[in-house]
Amino acid sequence: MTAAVVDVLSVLVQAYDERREVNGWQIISAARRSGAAVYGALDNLEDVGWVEARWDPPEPNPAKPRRRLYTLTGAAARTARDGLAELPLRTPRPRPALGASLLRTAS
Amino acid sequence: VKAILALLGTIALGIAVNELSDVSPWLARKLVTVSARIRYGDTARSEVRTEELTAVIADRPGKVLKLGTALWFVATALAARLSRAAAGEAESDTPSFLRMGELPSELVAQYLFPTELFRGEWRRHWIHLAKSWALTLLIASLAIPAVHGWIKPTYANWLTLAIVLGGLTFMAFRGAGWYLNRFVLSNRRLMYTEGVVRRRVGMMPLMRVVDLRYEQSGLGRMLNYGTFFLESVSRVSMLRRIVDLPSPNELYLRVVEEMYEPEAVEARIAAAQSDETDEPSTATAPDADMIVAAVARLAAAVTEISATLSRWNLPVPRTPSDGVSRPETANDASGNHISENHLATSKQVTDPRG
Repeated sequence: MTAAVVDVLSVLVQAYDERREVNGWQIISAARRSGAAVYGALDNLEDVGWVEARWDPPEPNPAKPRRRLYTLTGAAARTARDGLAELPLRTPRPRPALGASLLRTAS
Repeated sequence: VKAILALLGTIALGIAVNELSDVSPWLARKLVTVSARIRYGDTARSEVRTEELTAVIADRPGKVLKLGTALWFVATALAARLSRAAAGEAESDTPSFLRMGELPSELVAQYLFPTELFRGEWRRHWIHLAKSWALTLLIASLAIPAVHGWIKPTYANWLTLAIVLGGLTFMAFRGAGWYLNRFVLSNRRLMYTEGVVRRRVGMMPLMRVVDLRYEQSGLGRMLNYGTFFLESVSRVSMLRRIVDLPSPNELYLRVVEEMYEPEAVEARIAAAQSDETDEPSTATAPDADMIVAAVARLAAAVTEISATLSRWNLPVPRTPSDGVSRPETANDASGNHISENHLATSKQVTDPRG
């Protein structure tokens, strides 16, 4: 299991707990992963039957592309929550502030 | 005159930037659909992802950022498709570099002493061969016009033939060299063997490796290869720098584990072997057919990708005519109706079934 899959799973587990469905862009921005990495993970999770997806809105509309909403299946959510709990605590990926070192004076 | 030119230049630049920021969301939508086609081919998932990724790009804020995201989608899709093609459709769940308890190929077995334990052997990544072939082809394609330009026609044809034959021989030689190269890890040492005619065998005891590092270029990270640097106590070593090794991080961990935790490796091999006792052994030495098949698959994938893309012809970019006079819509959230408008036109022209 790659780190990207772990990040995507934790986003999905959180959404499952809050009884929400999340779309692709929400996963990408919440997981802070590139779109390609997220979709690679979603492909794998879909292949093993961990996530279910539905179109939003359900019927196709030629003028506007539909979003796709993802949820974990109940069994997968439990497995994933247990699995994630066993992982060493992951600190959020740090984003250093730009130019912070320039402004700070050397002490 | 200069001032007028500068003024005109500024205006042109402004228009160009404005046009670019208008065109880039459109281009981004085109690119993500292209990336879905490349990545998933003609599967059912391709249709789903094509529509879905268009929606994702529409959600993604920032006009130029949309383009960047889309370009990254295309790049990773290409890399994924090509490396999948070169490796063949996955035969085994575990990647070859993680399979434990394999036997050395005959090529390597002759260099191992009886009591040492073989841990694995690796060929260089295929990019190594690809680089060498690309360079040969480049030089040949420059040399042939040069020959025709500067040498009497009587001799020019013979010389062209000589260049073609020489180039092909060289490429075959390089191919054989790549096929015969092995980087070997045993419980005692790192070893490297190479050479078609002139054969070189080098080694470094694991005990004497004082520093081990690897580097990956951007392309290396996409295609998963890297260059290893080994510092040893001795100053001169054939193993100081080994370019284009596959899966560098896994390889790195394998070597480091062998140095620090040899018992753990032993235990894992024992476990893997007890799992495999009821199955026939799948550990087979790689043979030349595999390489030929991999190259053929790669070529097939390239033609297939270009076929999928050409079947679904890309429309000519339609620059919005009201691009300059339009009220400011730099803030993407406020320009919702405009992006919908864009989507409508693009959907119309890109639908593959007309």
